[in-house]
Amino acid sequence: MSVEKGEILGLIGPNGAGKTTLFNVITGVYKPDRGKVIIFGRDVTGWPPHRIAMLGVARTFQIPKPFPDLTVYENVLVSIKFSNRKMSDLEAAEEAKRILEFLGLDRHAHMLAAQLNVALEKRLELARALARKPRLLLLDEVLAGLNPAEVSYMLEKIRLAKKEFDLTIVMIEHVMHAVMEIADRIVVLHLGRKLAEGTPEEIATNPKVIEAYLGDPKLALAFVKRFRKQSGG
Amino acid sequence: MEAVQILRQRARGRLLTNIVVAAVIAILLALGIGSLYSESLGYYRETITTFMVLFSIVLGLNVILGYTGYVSFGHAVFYGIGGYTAMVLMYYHGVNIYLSMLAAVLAAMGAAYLIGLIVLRLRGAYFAIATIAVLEAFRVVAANINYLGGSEGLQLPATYYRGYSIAGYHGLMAVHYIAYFLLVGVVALGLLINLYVSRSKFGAGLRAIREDEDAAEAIGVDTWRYKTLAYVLSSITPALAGAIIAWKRMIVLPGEFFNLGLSIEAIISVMLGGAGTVLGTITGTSIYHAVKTAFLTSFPSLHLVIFGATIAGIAELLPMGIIGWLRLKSTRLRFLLE
Repeated sequence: MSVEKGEILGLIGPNGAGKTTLFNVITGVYKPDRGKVIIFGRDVTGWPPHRIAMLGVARTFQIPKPFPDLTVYENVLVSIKFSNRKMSDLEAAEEAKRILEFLGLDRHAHMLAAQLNVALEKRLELARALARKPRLLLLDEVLAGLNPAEVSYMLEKIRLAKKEFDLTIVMIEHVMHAVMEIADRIVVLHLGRKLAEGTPEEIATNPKVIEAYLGDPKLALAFVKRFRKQSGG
Repeated sequence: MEAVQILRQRARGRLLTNIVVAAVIAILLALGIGSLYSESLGYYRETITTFMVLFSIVLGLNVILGYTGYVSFGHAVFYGIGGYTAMVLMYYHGVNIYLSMLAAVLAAMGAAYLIGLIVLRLRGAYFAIATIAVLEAFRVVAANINYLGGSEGLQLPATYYRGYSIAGYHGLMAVHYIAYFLLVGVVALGLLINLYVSRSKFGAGLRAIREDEDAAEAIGVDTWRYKTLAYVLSSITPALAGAIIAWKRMIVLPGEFFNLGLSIEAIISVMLGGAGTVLGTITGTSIYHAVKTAFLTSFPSLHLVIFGATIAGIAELLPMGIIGWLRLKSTRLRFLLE
């Protein structure tokens, strides 16, 4: 499969389909047995994760992995320091504050990351990823465990970030209405294989996908239609 | 807090640490110089020497344990490598202490790199146990190779010390004073290394590794290279201390130089003071050494009980250590105490 520059690609499928594994292969955590990973035109198969990160790839983890004994501010600052930009200490500190403000974390800036609740942890995951000024952002179930208000908030922030940073995004998600709403294209994984690929409408009406994952065809299509109408087509 | 305020608070904290570090070195120097000319300060020279030996190991250990989060239980191995390397050069080739120290630290750094190739692949408890195995392996090897003196070790004759002199003292008498000042230098070096780690991007990367190694990789930290460098840096001051003590005591013995107890005392000191902080190393080592010395004179057979009680106490009440605990109390303290 491939991802086009500037698009938001949704990656969906039942649990165990291999979505996070795919992320781990892309980011170099696992080495593929067969095949290649090509990012920004470079063959990065077999590269260690930090080298791939240096190319401009940022990821979040399905179960958030904050730096627990560092404050929220320090979490983001470390990420900035390793984003390979020449910045003075003051510039880095200001950039950290900016990202914290963007995600509403500024009030908690000097709290230990270990003390955050789920919603804030997810925001910190996103903040740390964005702090790297990436070109490619891989989000692994960044909406899991959030209530509807928090989901809307995150979707809004993701949209804003995409525009501001000119991002390409791949999103693993189970929150169906969110994916249908925000993704330009969707790839469906099932048992480690690509089951289907297409626009949200195509996926919602694909019988194989419905059978393997979605369940109710009418509901999925309703999500797509409803949100297409809301956002003006 | 605005960005400018954050940096200002951080600068204030660093200034405080700089002052404390400078004061510690100045006090150590003053005591040494004083002991040269005053009979009564001679007792303090010896106990401070012992303190500085522990402090040197602690300053090394703090880099791999405190900042990187890898609990090197066998860290005394670098003390032993330093001592034995220096002794071999002094015993067989009559090399002076200064060159022997240089060789000792190079040997230890090389050993740290090679040992690291194996043990740094492990994490957590596995790493800790592996380092103990390494320490034991070195002890057994040293005890069984004749060239290294076997179980009786190597001992320098008094004639070796003929060339040394300081402030009117000569030979063996001079050695105790020279060793003292050399150790002050080692402590200063260790403090500088810790200050560098604390304030550099390298140190930020080490902390990230400590907090979550996989997440650290994901944000671009070359964890393998950083861990290796930390491990090599952590071997420097223990090795130098080992060389100096081998010279001062005139003898190396496998059990004394590859000594697990020494590692454990260093770990206690790091944890008691606050792992991963500069002020913590000073605090922890001072308190531990003071309590140990006091107890040893009053209750000589109880010092093992002290070990156990201290570890249990720290783990239960103060896992962050004294400085670590203070840093949690308020944001201002977090910036102030480095």
